[in-house]
Amino acid sequence: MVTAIERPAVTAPAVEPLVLAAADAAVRTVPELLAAATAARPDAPAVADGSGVWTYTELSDHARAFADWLAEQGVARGERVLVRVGNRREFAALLFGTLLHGAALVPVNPAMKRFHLTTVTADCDPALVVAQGEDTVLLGSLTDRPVHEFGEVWRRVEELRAAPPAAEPSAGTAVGPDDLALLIYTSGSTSAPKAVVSTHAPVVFATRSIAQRLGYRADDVVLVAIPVSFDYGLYQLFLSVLAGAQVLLTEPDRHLRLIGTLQRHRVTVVPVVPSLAEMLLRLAGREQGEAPPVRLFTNTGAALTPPVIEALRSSFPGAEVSPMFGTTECKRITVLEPGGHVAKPGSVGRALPGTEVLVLDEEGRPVPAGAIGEIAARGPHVMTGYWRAPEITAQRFRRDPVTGVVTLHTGDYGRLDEDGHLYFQGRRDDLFKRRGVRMSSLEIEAAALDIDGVTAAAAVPPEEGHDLILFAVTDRTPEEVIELLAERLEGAKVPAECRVLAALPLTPNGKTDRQLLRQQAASQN
Amino acid sequence: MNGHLQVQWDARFAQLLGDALPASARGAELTPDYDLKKAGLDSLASIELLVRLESEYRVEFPEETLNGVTFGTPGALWRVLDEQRSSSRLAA
Repeated sequence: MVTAIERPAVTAPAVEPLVLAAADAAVRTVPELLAAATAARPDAPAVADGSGVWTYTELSDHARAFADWLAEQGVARGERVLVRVGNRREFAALLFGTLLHGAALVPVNPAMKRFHLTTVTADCDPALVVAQGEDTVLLGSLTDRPVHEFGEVWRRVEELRAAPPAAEPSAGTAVGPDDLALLIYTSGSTSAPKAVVSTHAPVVFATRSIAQRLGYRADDVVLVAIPVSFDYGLYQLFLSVLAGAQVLLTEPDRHLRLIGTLQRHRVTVVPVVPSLAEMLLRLAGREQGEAPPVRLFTNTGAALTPPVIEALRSSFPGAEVSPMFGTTECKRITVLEPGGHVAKPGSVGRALPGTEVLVLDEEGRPVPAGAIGEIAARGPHVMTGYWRAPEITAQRFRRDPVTGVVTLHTGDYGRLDEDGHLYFQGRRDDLFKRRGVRMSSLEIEAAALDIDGVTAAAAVPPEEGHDLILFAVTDRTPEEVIELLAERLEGAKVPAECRVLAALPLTPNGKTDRQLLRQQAASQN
Repeated sequence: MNGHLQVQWDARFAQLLGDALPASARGAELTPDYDLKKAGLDSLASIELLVRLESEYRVEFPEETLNGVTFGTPGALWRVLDEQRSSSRLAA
């Protein structure tokens, strides 16, 4: 790779008229966001994948046609549309079309197995499901609701798109900021994922606030290699539309060819998690010639260490790095502006504009600067709560009885410095991240216990010295347990190793001695 | 299975491939059709393996071979690697 001899000065991005237009208080719903972009840049590329690119007009037309299809299917406002199609162009049409129609989108990871799908399909109670090919068979076995094959849906969508526009808009009155927009499933301290509920208002607010800090531009090409079923991937569509930029969607099985992809499509913005950054660096190391024109890497999910930040800047000269911190429950909490790590190493940034980040003690009181406590957030980005789960909602989304202000308690721990910069430390419960994916030991243990012949299980999260390990009491072999776990959980949640024990070690109180298991995990490496 | 005679791979290849697999698959026997994805060879591990094979054998995998089929089984991977070795020998 060509390495830069001199780094160009980082200049503030030019303020685009489009961003100002969408900053207009009148734009408070996702359909309005797309309408503004389409009006301003009708022929600009909006979304691309391996099969081609749509302009904003084409994206809007396809979205409108999908909304018409939903109307044809009798989907009512506020109902849920479960979609499982992966990172492809048409997903954008399904997303914007569903929200235009006034329904809520439930994007589900293609990697999710039957084990969690059973709970998710029942929990979100969808009006209908859209899935690809053979997947319709699996989903059909899990729900009584209509399951539509994507190819067939799309044929009808194309017919509707070609047809003359309906006399009246299919949704009747326009969607409002307090209408249901998204259900995003995420791991929590329960054995199966729960959905974070978003109405339009916090989605649009969070998008605008993040955009102010990151500065996506109209001429950007944003790579979305992160699954769109995660908020990190999904919101790239909103951020890009807000800027009038272009999104390029790719699937995980194309990761080997990422550098070529970045070159061919002239990608300028790459949202990463550390494992994806590592992949890019390894791939960049085998290339000669000019680096792809990436100007910005954003990161969340786990910390980007200083050597990795420097390696990215070295392999992609002209690129800056923006570490961030967030949680699905409010989308994002802090963003460190591109290049900000130089002055504030280890920081994940300051609170999003218009929001507050706090660090609290056990009583919920803010601690002094520098002290560790629970990270909490307040502001218009805080989402509505968990879907049909009032108890866990009350635990995390705590409403002040006097002021009515909701404080989101994240369960993450860290500290704030004098300048309001946040430094993440860790968690105290069994939630953790691996390869940028959120999961809980409980979830993994529940999956293990679902296996015939596994009578006890304890998952030890990854740490310095060892990867995710499962200790199991079973007469099965370790390989069998892993294989059967892989049938139940997405790849990132499958332990690297299983160790069979005659019994799980217990503390004097009779609880699993996780401390001892952590020591065992670290020592036998 | 393809029709042509499959040349068995060498010990270096078996070693590097074995090292790329997660601990849970380490003891497994590497047959030509062994399902690597199912064994846990994910994107990151595939990329690591690619870089090491290229370094060890001094070849370059062409872009069109960088896909799930090539990294799907030891047989497919060895075939692509072997093709690059042959062509680089011819070119020398």
